[in-house]
Formats: sequence, C-alpha cells, structure tokens
Amino acid sequence: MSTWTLIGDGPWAQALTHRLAAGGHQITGPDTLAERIIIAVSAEALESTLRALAPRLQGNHRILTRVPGLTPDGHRPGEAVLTLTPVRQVAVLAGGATPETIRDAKPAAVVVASAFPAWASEIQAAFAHETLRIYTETDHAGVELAAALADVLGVALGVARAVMVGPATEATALTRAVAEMDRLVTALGGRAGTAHGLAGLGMLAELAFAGGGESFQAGALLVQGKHAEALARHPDLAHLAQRISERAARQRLRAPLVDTVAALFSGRLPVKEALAGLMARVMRSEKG
Amino acid sequence: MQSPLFHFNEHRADLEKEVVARIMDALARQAEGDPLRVWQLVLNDAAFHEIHRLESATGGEAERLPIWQKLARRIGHLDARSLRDEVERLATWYVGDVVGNFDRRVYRFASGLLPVGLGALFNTVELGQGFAAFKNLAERIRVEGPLEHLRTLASKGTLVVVPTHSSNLDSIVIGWSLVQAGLPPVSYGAGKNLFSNKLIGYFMRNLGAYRVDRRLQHQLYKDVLKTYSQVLMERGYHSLFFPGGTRSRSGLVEQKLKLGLLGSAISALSERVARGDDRPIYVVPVTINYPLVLEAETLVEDHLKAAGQARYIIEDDEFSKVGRVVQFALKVMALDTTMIIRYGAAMDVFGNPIGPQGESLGPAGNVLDPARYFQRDGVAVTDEARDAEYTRQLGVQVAAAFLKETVILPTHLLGWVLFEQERRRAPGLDLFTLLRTTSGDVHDPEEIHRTLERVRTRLVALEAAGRLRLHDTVRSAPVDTLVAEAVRTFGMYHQRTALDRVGEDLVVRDPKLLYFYGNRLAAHADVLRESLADTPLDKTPGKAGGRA
Repeated sequence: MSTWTLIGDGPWAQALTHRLAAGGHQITGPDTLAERIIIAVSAEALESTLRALAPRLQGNHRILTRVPGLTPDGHRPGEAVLTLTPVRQVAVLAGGATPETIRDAKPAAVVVASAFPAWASEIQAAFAHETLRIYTETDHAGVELAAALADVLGVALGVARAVMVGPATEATALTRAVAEMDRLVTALGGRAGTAHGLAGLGMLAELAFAGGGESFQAGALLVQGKHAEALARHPDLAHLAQRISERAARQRLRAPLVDTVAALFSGRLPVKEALAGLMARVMRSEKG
Repeated sequence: MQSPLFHFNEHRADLEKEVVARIMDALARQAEGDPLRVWQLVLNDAAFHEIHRLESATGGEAERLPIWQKLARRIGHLDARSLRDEVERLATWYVGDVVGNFDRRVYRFASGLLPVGLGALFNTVELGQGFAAFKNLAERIRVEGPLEHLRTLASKGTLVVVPTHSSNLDSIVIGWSLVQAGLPPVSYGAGKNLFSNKLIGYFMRNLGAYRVDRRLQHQLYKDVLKTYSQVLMERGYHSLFFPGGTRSRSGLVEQKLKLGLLGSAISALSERVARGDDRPIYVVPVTINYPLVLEAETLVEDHLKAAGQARYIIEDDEFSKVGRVVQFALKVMALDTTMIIRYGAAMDVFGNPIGPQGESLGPAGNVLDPARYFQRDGVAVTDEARDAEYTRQLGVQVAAAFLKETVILPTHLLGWVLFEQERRRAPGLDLFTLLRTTSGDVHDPEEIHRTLERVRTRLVALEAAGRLRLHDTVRSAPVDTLVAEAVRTFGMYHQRTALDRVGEDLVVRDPKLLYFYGNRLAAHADVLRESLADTPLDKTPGKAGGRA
C-alpha cells in the first residue's frame, strides 16, 4: 500500500479519498507531502495551489490532476504543472463518471492519461475496484483538451434539449460536437481519436443521458434568454468557453459550437439567431 | 582551463573497450531468450543495409561488397557463439572507425592559428597584420550570452552544447567561439564527408571530432554512435551535437529535434547517478546567426523539392567547393552586419534552469537534486518509457530556447517583409507559384519603410517579452540604414542576389532567398501579420526588366 497526498476539498477530492482509503492506502494533507500527489481543485485555484507547493517539490514527485477546464491564462492543467513546478511526471483523471458514482460504488469507468506509463499504472492499481474500471492512455494533452471541450459542448447539447426540437436535432448536435471536439483536440496538441474516448464522447454522452448537470442547466438558462443568470451561476463554464474560443481563434481553427456557446454566455447573441447562424454555415463534408 | 579532452588519448583504448562491452552487454540481454535469432538479426540487418549500399558504390568502397556478401551467406550456418563473436568484431571495427583523437599540440596550434587564419580570411588585411585581423574577426563574429556562468559550469560538470545548424561552417565557427568564450574544447560527431578534405580532416580529427558515416543505416552502427556519445558524456567529456540533425533546409529555426542524442545525455546522467557520481550534466542551447548562409541556395532548393526531403547528405553543395568557401569568407569580412553566436542559459537534462553555483533550480527558486528524477520511493529505478518522455520534454525546452535566443539580423527582417508583401499582393497564390512568379517585382521604398517600421515595433515588443533577440541595427537604426545594410549584404555573396535597388525602388531578384532568410521569423509570423492588418498595399506593382 502506498501514501498519497490529496489537495482539494470538493466532491471529487472526497470521492478519490474515499476510493484510496477503501483500497487501504494512506492519505495525507499538503503538510506532509507524499511522493504521489492528487490535485482536485478548480482551474481558477490551480495556479495558486501549484505555486504554494512548488518550493517543496522535487523530481521524484508525481502529480495526478482532476481539474476541469483550462487555467485563466488558457493553459491545460498539465502545462501549468510543468511550468510552475519542477515535477515532470504528470497524469490527468477524466471521464463521464461523477464523484457520486465513485463514492456510491456504482459501476463506472474513468481514463487516466499520462505520457509516463509507469505513473499511469500506479494510479490504475491504486484506484481500481470491482465497480470502477480505470483505462490508461498516453495522450495526456488530448484527454485534458477533450474533457475541457466536453464541458463547453455540453452547454450546446443543453441548448438543443431546451429548445425542444426533438431527438434528431439533439443527435445532430451530439455528432457535430464530437466532430468539433476531435478537430480541436488534434489541432491543439492531442491525438486524433482521443475525443472519442471516455474524456470526450464519454462525458458528452453522460450529460446527454443524464439530461441534467451544470452544462445542461446553463444551456436551459441561455435558451430562456437569461444569460446574466447563466453567467452568474456557471462562471467556470462561461470562462472556459471564452478561453477555448479565443485559443481556437488565435490558431485560426473552426470552432462554431464553442464560439456559439461563448457568444450566448456573453449575451451578444440570442438563441434564435445562434441556431439560424449554425444552420446557415457553408456546407462541408462530414469529416472536413 | 582544464578539459578531460586534454587527456583523451590516455583513455582512448579503455573507452573503446567500454563502448564495445556496453553494446555487447545490451545485445546479450536481448539474446537471453533466443540467442541464435538475436545475433542473426543484428548481422542480417547490417549485411542487408551494407550490401544494398555497396552495390551502387564505386572505388575502394565497392571492394567491400564481396566481404559482406560472404558474411550474409555464412550467417545461417554459424552457431550462436560464432555469431556473437562476429558481432563483437564488427562493433570493435566500427568503434575504432568512429573514435576521434585529441592532440593538445594541434589544439594549441589551431586555437592560435584559427583566429589569425580566419581573421585574415574574414578581413581584407594582409596576413602580416595577423593580430589586427584577429581583433577584427572578434568584431565581425560576436560571441554573446552568459559566458562567465558557462565557464563556471564547465568546471563543475559536463557541458552538452546544442547549437542550431545552418551551415557546414557551423562546427568550425562553434569551435572558434568556444576558444573565444574561454570555454573548453568539446567532442563532437562530424559527417565523414567533412573529413575528406585532408587538412580540415586532420584538424577535426585531432580536436575531438569523431567520425559519423551517415551512409551507414544499420542498427549496430547507430548503437555504436549513441553508446559512444553517451560514454563520452558519462566520463565527463564536454560534448556537442546538432539536435536538428541536418542543416535547416528551409531557413526555419529548428523546432523538430532529433531526440536520440538528447536522450543519451539523460541516459548518461542516469548511469552516473547509479554509480554515485554526482557531477551534473548541463545542456547549453546555442544559436548561430548568419547574415548570409554559405549554402543558402542549395539548401532552399533542396527544401523545395519534394524529393529533397529524403536527400539526406548533399555532397555537391557550396561547402565542397573550396573557392566558394573562400569567396564567402572574404565577403563576410566586409559585411557591416556581425555574425552572432549566442549562447543561451544552461539547463539540466530535465529542462530546469541552473543557479550561479551549478545547482538545478525549480520555478520557485528551490534547489533540486537531479538524481531524484530517477527515483521511486527513494530507490533509483530504470524506466525507459519515463526517460523517453523526459527526453521529449527536454527537446521542447531546447526548441523553445532556440526561438528565444535567435538573433534577428537585417537580412532576416527585410527578407520576411518583402516576401510577406508578395504574399499580400497575391493572397490566393500557393508558395510555389509565388516563388516562381515574383522575381522582378518592384517594391516602393516608402511602402517598405512603413511596413518595416510596423513590423519592427512588434519585434521590439517580442524582444521585451523575451521571445526573440534583435540585432542592434534591427532594433534601433534608422529604417533606411537597416534597408541599406540588408540590401548590401544580400548583394555581396550569392550567385544571384535576393534583391537589389533600381533607382530608389527595391526589386525582387531571387524570391527563394528572401523566403529562406525570412523564415528565421516564421515562428512569429502570426503576430507580425497582425501589425500589417490595416496597412494599405500598393496593389499595382510593376515588373523591373532584366536581371541583376
């Protein structure tokens, strides 16, 4: 059994603590730093958390992040770890499972991505349980990007659900969201196909099947024209949409759904016009 | 100045033995399960590649074809022991062929002579004024960077110097810059073709260069090279290699690096740590910034040929023509623009910065122990996949340092601006059509000046943000001085000038050269283009008649 330091106190931190403890592992807080560190904080809090830890970190430390989205500067959590700390062995945990499914031992699966296979295997061994399957993946950047995009594109699915245009339109929204996700993940440093895994399609499907969740709630508010309320209640999603939209624009990437979500949050674009705008775009090949 | 290279010859035999022993150990480990198959594979791979190569070889080389053919026929009949002995014999032969030499007398002679010789070449003064020429050379070729710190690091650990690569003159120029900077000589691999000139070959061989025969493509030879360079670093020999692999064909600052030799720096440190040797290894990125590149015409042609990508070694470029080298040297001496060799900040093999006393530092300024990167639960662990990822990450850091430490010279800036104006005039045209059709295009000097000012403002901001470096002229000279200097430089050496002046107008003569030199700025093209978004463009350019 091994010792892990867990940083964060949200539902994910609690669920992961629960899983490790149930597996017989020791868990410490940030005061006694173990070699294996899990950071489960918000994207906003990530940089300050890393800065506070950095003076005590060495090359043998290994970090697993469960941080949704991108930092305020638009960096992936893994990029932030490499820039702000001397730690090189980084991994990310993502997927459609919710902290509740893990805590309540409902059957679920998550993906652990790291370019360091031995670190991913350690995490896999520590968290695996008869109700929790852990898949490993080497495309760290791809999984982080797919997870961030799934949260934002989930809002688009929420909009499609709330306008009540029927399952065919929702299915179209889901399919095009996956296509957009794949295109952006590949262009921003991930590998083709990663978006079709647990961190991309897996998360979108979870949102669509559950029909609830933050992204859907935000989508519903936006359809009602309550963008100020959507922004106030879901600032993380609004900022994330904005950050990805800007990053895509800087690299001249087509991101119509992400751009639309960002515009809806800003109040610049009413839903009707947004939908009309999406329909009126130049027709392309499905894989183009 | 102390350097392990000064004692190279005393350790040479021992070093050769260790390299062979390492290779044989590694293969023996693979051979444990099925020795016959593994040894056969090594020999078959070598024989296949060599026979394939030698079938089209001529002269003395071709005489070795029957030897390989005979070996290939025997492989199937030999037992594991004999196969192993055959591999060892080959490895020993290759190591002997690769290993360099170091002659302290040649070093003293060359480091005294080279500046005077180069100085004489690089200046039109007479040889009798050797020392004056030396002084002049120091003005023509500037060596910059944290040299004092690097001298300290050379005494505390092992330097691995990794420069950008534009020209076959690079290794000579870097060698000179090391002497100039008060840094120790380094061991480096040089293409066997460079040794074909007996005089240059003699100096290179006796100054720590080892021979790399790029025509040999089989795994055993690659293992010899990698193991040799690793053992050199492990033993504390300061080393140099060009992580871009070959010269930059496109003029771009290299961003896709060959990770093999960077990886051997990490393996060397790992071996040292395992043996309790705590001397650090420092990676030192260097940029070599030429106002003119000797082989520019051949390189860019090669880049533009789709097939050129596969043409690995150019045997017949400008470097092979002594006259061109001398002509080039003579011209460079008369240039206004200095050539700049810029040493970047040293980093450890994990990309961490180095403190004043040679210690690795984390982003928070805390001292790091590099050995801990190899440990798990307090014990050093071998993990090839981990080290491969460390290597990839180091490559990213070195590539970033190349961009940050690249010095933009007037020819680069004017090349970029003129070629960009051509792109803007014909936004629909692809690169090849642009290159084919823009020769003779006339540019209004007023427009070029305005554009240059805008781009320069952006460049100064980029320099302030630490993203690149600017030559003094580029940063602050009046814009007409900048243009005049670039035009004069372009006109000095290439067979066909990149551009010239007709009256006040600037006329494009060789768009490929503009493209090549401008590519030094390609990594920042998006930011620079933004600065031009609202500048009006003279859309009705004329063509100048005739050629320069």
